[in-house]
Amino acid sequence: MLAKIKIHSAFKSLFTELEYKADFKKYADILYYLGAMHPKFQRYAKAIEQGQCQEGYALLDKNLKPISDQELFIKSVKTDDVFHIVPAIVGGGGKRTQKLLTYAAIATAAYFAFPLVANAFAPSTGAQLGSAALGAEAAIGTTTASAGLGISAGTLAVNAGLALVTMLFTQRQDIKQTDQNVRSNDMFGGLQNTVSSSTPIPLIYGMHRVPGQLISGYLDTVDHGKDDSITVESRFAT
Amino acid sequence: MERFIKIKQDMNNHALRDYPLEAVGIITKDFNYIPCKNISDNPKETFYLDPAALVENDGNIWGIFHSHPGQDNPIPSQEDKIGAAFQEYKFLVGFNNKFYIYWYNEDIDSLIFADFQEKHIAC
Repeated sequence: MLAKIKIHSAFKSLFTELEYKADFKKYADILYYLGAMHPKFQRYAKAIEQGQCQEGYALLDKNLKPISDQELFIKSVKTDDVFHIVPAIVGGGGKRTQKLLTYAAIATAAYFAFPLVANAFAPSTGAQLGSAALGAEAAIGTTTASAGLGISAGTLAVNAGLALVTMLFTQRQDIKQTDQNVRSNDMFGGLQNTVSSSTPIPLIYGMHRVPGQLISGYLDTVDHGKDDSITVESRFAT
Repeated sequence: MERFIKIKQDMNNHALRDYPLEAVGIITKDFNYIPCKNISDNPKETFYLDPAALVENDGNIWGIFHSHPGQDNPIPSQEDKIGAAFQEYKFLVGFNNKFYIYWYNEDIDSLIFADFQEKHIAC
């Protein structure tokens, strides 16, 4: 959809015009477009992301409402939508601003690599600060490809996070204490687990063949006379 | 002199009215003070000027004021450096009738500040 982007005068040095019209699908495409088509803005966004520049900016919708990171990837652009790129004027009394800035840095850095993960960590203020640092790099490819990469990378990171949480709340059993020292059988050694407990195993759907597992076995000798040959029968249960 | 006193009064009133939150506002090029919304998640200790106000007053902004509520000597903090990076604006901070003007000096990567005086709005 054809939408208008209005550049705040504070950013006039980064653009040749103060107003652009272009075709976008999602809100995120706007930032990809700005990064791809306006090299000065791309450098600026990258400088913010790398901490070389202590500024920030916000993307506003036509109602002058700041667009959150989540909205960037969910909302679709409508015909005649108007967006504003404006500076983020922030500061504080020095008590907690450092924390605010840390959030902003996390949001920006994480967003650069994993746009969707950043949403989970960034508070609204931090998320809006310099969030566009994202698009700058991502925009080099096509919009669709960039967005797709972001999502899959984000999913991976979420999975890694879940695994970490699972590990924290699941007590792993000590194999030596529970099995080898307590249980025994009449074979050459104690029973041994071939897999460790509390570890996720793959669940395979559909028909599949698996090898048998040796549970136990024994030797059976038969009584015999002086000249008889010895018969040894071995039996293994599977 | 009148407009200087009026700006100081307006900023002071806003700072006291929003206490204990940080007040933030815009000073237009004709030296009128416009109180704005602080949309920070933690408005007691930080400010984030509502970007909508920047759009509405685009082209007519002389400076930006914010308060340091409850401080006896409300000098700019190290964190105020971030907003001050936009050097086309003047920046003011204050509380309880004490105001400072500050700006970012790129060469030494620090904020410089001075007492807010009438001469600052004379130009």
